[in-house]
Amino acid sequence: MTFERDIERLLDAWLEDGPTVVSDRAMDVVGHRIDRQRQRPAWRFPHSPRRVDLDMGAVVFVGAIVLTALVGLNLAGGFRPPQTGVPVPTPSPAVTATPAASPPGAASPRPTASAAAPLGPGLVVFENWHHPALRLYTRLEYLSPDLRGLELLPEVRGLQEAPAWSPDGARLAFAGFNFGDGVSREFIYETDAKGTTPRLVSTNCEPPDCLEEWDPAYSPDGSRLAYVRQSGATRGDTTSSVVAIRDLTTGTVVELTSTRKTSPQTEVRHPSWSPDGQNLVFDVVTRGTAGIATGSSIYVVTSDGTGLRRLTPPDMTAGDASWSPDGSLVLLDSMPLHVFANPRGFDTRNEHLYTIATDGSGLHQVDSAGNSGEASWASDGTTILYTGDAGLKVMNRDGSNDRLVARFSECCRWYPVQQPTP
Amino acid sequence: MDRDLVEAARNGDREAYVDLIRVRSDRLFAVAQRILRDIDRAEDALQDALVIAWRDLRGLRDPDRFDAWLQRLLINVCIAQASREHHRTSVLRVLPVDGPPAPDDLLSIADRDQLERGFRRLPPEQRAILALHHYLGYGPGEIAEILGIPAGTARSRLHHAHRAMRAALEADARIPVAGGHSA
Repeated sequence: MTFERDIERLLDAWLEDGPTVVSDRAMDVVGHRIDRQRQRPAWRFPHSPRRVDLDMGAVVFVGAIVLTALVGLNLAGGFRPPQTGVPVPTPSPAVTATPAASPPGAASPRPTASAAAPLGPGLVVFENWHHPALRLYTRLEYLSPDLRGLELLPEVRGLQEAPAWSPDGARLAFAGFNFGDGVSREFIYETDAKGTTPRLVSTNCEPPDCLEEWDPAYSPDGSRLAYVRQSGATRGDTTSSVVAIRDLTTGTVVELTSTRKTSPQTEVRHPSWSPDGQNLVFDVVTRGTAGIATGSSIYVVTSDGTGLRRLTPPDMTAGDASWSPDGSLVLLDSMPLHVFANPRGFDTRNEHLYTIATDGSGLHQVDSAGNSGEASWASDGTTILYTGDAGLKVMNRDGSNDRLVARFSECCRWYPVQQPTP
Repeated sequence: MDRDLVEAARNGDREAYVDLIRVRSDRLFAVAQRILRDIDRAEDALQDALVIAWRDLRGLRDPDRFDAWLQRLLINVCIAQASREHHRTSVLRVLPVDGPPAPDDLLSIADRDQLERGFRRLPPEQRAILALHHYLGYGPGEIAEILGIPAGTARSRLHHAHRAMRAALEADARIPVAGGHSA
């Protein structure tokens, strides 16, 4: 190429070439996604005593200022690419100063059995929300031994969320959407600890009886999967949600009909098994106009669908329940993020973790800092893994020894779950 | 009439929104493809941008600015995606290809390969600026409006993008490629 030629003319001609028509399939996906994405006039946190109503224009204005500042910094730094996906551990100043980003062009390494030293053995997997306020692009990542967040399924397109380990740590179930297989509905998939190509678990799921499935949870023996099944003809016309249990050997599905919610203003979410496999806890979410969540409570039901009862107090917002490995307590979050989907940085100081006895007594706030949520039990069965405003944290079940494991340099990584180990 | 459609979509009219994006989607996709250089990623970026736009449409105060607002959303999504991809994808090297000559006499196959390599070396922000200018034909003033930056800044960035593109092409010309050829 001769540089005497006008580079602008070359660029004009070169950029003119290329595809100019988007595929119908891609636009179909947009249609499906806007069906499930309601418009919201303002940010609201109905669970909080300090109600925050922010005009969207103000949010955009503040965002523009921040963006301008960031762009300015970027310019000053010669357009250095952002250090995406690099959680940095706090305790090590050396690492904090020079986070070990994956070299450009390097293939994403496969997860190894060894895990981040502060957490002991067992791979930690979590969600990375690329548009945190909207949950538009959620991907599964794992915490590498050097405390970096790396994609678990880099070759798989689409949204990935709600990771759940099998009891033996050999399998990981999650919900996926728009995997490029022409099916624009959310289904449950299963992979292994190395993130090999996932297999579809949600077989024989056809509308209107089965529209979508998500929020998987393995039974204690690993033979069954509890999850949420949504019914309806299309994604814009969902008619009910119910906790269902799938036998992973036979594929047989049993819906716990007592949990079914048939109003668009109510839905079930996030089932979790008791360690004896006899009971499940799950969230019941209520929504107001425009689909904005107004409340969430935790219920208990036996695995055959009987004995339904509310676990948490009626005036409490609660969700993301997780039964303790010894069966004595249920760990919960006062603001389940999958329900309220708020961006961090707003007033989430009143978001706390609690434990409650399985008879509904003894509600106890575990954390003290606030802005804590999305918790699960670590593989040792006694400590709690969760996310706070600084990153991935861990503490004892009584709230003691609360410490930061990995600082996330970029928003937002939530719902950590650790691989059980023998 | 687009103003009416924007108003209706802002009030939750899904069909009005679909009508709005239907006539814009091809052009937006083409812009995304020029920036990201990949059809699948361009479609992903377009999908994200259109869903964000639906979600945040009520925050758009002036319906007449819908197009600029939507393009800015798309550009930001493309930049974010390209930045992210930069960390987990291989640096592609397009090898010279023997084949029929280009349909016009301005660009040879070798030119196109070299432009592709040079363009991929640019930061996503500069790719976006070049796509807005050379594909959509926007001047610095229009680029400034779309990106929400001062016109002087847009001119400066366009200038730097051209310089960066030239530098990338020159650097590419110095690097031998597989087989001992020089691009």
